[in-house]
Amino acid sequence: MPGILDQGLVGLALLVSMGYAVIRLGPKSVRRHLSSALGRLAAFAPPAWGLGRAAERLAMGAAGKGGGGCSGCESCGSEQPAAQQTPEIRIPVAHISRRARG
Amino acid sequence: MEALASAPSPLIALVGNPNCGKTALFNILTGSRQKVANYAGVTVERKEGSLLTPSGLRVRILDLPGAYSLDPLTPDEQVTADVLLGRRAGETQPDFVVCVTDATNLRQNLRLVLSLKRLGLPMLVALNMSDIARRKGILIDSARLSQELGVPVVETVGVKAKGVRALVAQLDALGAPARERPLAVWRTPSAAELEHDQAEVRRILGLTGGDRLDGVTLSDRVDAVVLHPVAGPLILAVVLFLVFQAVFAWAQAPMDAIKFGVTAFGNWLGAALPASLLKDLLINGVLAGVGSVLVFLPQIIILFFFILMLEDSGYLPRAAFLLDRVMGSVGLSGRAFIPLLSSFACAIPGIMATRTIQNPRDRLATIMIAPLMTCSARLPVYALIIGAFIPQQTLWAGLQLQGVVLFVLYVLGVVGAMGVAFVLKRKGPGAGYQSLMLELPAYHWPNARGLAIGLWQRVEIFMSRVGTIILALMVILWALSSFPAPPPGAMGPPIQYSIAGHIGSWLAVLFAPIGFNWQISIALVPGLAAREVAVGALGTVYALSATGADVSGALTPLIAHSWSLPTALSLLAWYVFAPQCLSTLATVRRETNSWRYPIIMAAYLFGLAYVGSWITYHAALALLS
Repeated sequence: MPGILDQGLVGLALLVSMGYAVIRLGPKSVRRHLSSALGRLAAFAPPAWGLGRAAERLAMGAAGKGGGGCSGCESCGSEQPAAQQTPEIRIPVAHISRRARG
Repeated sequence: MEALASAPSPLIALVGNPNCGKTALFNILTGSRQKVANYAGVTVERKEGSLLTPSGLRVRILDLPGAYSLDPLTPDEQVTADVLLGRRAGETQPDFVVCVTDATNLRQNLRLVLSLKRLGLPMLVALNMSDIARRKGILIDSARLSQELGVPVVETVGVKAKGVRALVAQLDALGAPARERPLAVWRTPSAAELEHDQAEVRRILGLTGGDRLDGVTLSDRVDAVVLHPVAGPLILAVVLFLVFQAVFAWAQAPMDAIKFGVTAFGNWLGAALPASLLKDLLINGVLAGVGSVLVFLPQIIILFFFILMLEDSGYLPRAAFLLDRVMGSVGLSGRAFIPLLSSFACAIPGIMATRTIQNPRDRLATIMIAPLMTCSARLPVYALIIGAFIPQQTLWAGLQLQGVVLFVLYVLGVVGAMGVAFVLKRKGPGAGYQSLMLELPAYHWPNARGLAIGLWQRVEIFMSRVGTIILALMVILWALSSFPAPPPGAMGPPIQYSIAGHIGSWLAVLFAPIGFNWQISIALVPGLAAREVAVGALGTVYALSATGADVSGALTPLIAHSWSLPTALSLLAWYVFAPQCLSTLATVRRETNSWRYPIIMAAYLFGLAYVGSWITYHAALALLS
């Protein structure tokens, strides 16, 4: 195998892996910027490459979060699509169990 | 039809008491596969799906957490009340309410129906589980019920799609939602109004035939044994013990088959590819790492088979009841049992399930101890070390030593959790025991289709993790372990001179007192992303540490050869208490709305793991010397 092809393929695999790891595990702001940039890039790709769906998913990832109803360990079996994600619940612990009035 | 499809979609909320079958109905209406189980509190968040009716109307359907009233006592009930009252940010009030009722328990369910009627939203009542009611001899006159309530009533059987056509026909008749509608307002009913509701429920039940009180049912007879103060805990211990035995006893053959497949594929790849960086990446990075994790799929399937069976049968709330006394001794209520049990699958749904806990201190304590329950991601780590160091020995009556050790590790996690809960609950105000009140559902045979779907989902989740984040981390780890190349004349394996080798030797200083070598120290870092990644990381690191031989799929004998027993036991102790994966910490941050608790959690778990491993390592050294 030519050295340049060998190194190119390994380099590409590494780049994709690092990008994916950052999107999945990185801070939210970095995740969103990266998803949005990759989504724009994928949207420019020729239709024949079939990246339309990936672009949509990346755009949705930039807008919110993917995965289940959590940060995405996907272990809970939740299958809610990203587009239908619920806004985060923000109930301070101290306020839980207070009976609503009126 | 096109005009209908483009019209604004009506928003329909499925509301009802806990465990009346809302999610089963939601799954059938929308084609979703949301988690369904036979106990209250499975759904703790709003879920949305859509349905295209026969006339072409697109309907949005919301599945809401179960609630007993519109005055919420728990965070999950709060979600339901907020959605119904239009108080939820960014969400409009539903256009229509489908009040799902359990036909076998109308006496309780009708109270919520009357509350919802008072809300004034257009509504229909789904008389769910009508087949079970009929089998029990509860014959409800649904036409009369409809007449008395003044809303349409449809008989349904959520798990069998029965009656769904009639329900869809009712939804079809809705048409596009009104553009402007005054917001429905809720006022907490007075005691007199509540008494009136109760009298109204009795009156309606009397007229419709839904007031038949069961005598001694089969569930009652089973409960007489299963909830017995002496026999009950024994049965629970035996059930859990057998589950862990099965995890080892049944998984051996499929695990061997996967191991054989991975090794054969590695050998074929080694022969087919010319010597190159790519070959090294594929064999020592991807295959050694991913293959090491993949072999544990059968054990995960077996564990979830039992968890799903227990969930579906209705045994879980009984276990919560049985453990209420034990939980009470450390200041928790039995209600914490189900979130803690969910944490055996993954801490994240477990932490989310704490929304069903009413007392804030109980809820916080449960969140803080949930990560100590052994999540399924830890199973590959345990299985690897047990497989390498614990002999395949049968003890007595077919009991396997490996299964016993696995059971002990799970118990250790539970004991650790109880200890932490004891400390948390004794500290500060609000400490004390909260009495347990929960509904015990009727037992039923697990639904085979539901079980198959549940298991398939677990396989999908596991395989998708293996094929995505684990694969990505293995590629990165391979690069860190391969570069820079060793200097000319270097004698050791190349990984020692790589970035990962250097990081490992720095970390080894911290972890040497607990017996971890530099390879283990490296594996702990990617293990923060997901526990099972540590196994893959060990596979990659040891593959790159080896000189020449192809080791893909052979991690178990390698670690058995290169670690001492105290090191192996110390690593097991580490993973009993180890700090949680990043996703769990992020979920704790979200559920508590504060960074304080995830930071405290990570710190105490690290401390506990370090101390636990240190004690284990030094005790083992002392015993073996």
